[in-house]
Amino acid sequence: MIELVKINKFYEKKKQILKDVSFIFEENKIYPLLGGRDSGKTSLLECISNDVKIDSGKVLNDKKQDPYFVSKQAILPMYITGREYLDFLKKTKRKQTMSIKQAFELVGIDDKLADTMIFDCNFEEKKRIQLASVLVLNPYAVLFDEPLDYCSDELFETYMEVLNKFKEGHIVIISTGLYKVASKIDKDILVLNKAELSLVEEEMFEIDEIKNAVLEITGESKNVVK
Amino acid sequence: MLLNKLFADRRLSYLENTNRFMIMLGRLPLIGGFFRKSMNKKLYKDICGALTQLAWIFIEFVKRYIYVLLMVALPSLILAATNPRIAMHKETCFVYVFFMLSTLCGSIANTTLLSMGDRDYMMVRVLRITPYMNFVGKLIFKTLLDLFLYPFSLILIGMSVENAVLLAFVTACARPVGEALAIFAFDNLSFVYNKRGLYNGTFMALFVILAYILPLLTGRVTDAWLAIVSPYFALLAFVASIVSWYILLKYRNYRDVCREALYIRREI
Repeated sequence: MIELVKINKFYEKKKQILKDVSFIFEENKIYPLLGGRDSGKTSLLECISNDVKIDSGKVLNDKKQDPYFVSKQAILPMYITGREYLDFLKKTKRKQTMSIKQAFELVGIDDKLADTMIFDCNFEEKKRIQLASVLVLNPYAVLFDEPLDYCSDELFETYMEVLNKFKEGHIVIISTGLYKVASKIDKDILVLNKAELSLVEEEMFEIDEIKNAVLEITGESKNVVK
Repeated sequence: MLLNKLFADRRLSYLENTNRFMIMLGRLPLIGGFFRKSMNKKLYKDICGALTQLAWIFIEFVKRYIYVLLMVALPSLILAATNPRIAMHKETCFVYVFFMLSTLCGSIANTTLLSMGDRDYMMVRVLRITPYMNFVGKLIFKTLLDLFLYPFSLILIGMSVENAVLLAFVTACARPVGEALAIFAFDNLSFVYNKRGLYNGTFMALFVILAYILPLLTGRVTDAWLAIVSPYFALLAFVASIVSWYILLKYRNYRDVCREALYIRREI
């Protein structure tokens, strides 16, 4: 379990990007975190992963390891192959983890791609390598920063298939700027708007005003079909 | 496992440099095709890896030699040319200038801890190496590199073997002392930490003045500076180093330092 207790975060001591954010993340679930541009999704994930300092509040984690933050820009070492990257990660783990071959099979990377330099891989291929790294590292909690916005349906399906198996005994949070992506991940959606975090449950989306308000936040309101 | 984490940065550099070298060979006209076909063969990779490591060590040595030549030997020879008393104690002058610039200034103003950058971002946030392991590994490697490469550079400019080895040893011992001071500044002297660019610049200017201008003004470099390369001073430096290493290994807030440094780097 990861508990956020009244987290406050300011940007350059002036603009408040997180205001009294409190929530409990539990295992065996994938949480979609929805927010518009510059709403603070990345900042919230960085606070949870202990990568940035919180101005006030606490992140309580009942496991000793920090959550694994997977960046949206697919930042990876460029001059090694995907296989070398996973092998590198495996050598830093004491516990036995999934084999590299199995991880690649699950995320849809063949031998040829596995032995290609990462700089020669396209964006979606790098996203698959990032997903494979999660399987090899096996962190308790993993935080994905907009991995599925504007990706192909095939990549989306691969991610959801893999993560729906991975979530057993783990916490997975996926941030997105699109309602259509969030709604495919889970029916209950965490919405971050004006520095505040709220859980919008499935039944509430049946109310047009609430759904429109959420779509307004993400800028998708023109596509609403009544 | 411990060594894998401690020297993760070096392991990654080994892989990257080996691959870069193989890609370069693969682009050669006429014979590039042969190298491209061999890209995934283990023996070929190992040979390329060994060659890149040798090249890397050579480049590190050349960097130190050029530094010692331009910043120590050449200014000392200029100082010697201006004053016969300095000319009579050329080796003392070498010891003095190197001590001021590398041992003192280099250890205080050029710390590993406060110069974190994109590489550290990669190591800590992407490759999941803890800030503690990342820092300690980098410092151990930097210290060993100075310890083994500086003596050769100093000998090549005309220093005696004994003095070169002892001076490199004292310099290697000073590195953790400088890092421990950086930690102290981070924890207790926030006004120094927040303006560290200014303070580093001031320190550098001060030591350059001490190294070059002071002998010029006084017209001499006293033989007392040879105490730096005495076994007793080396022992004192060693003890200071042990104490500093103890502080560094016990310190548990590397994540805070790393966060601060990487946050500033990203915002800039």
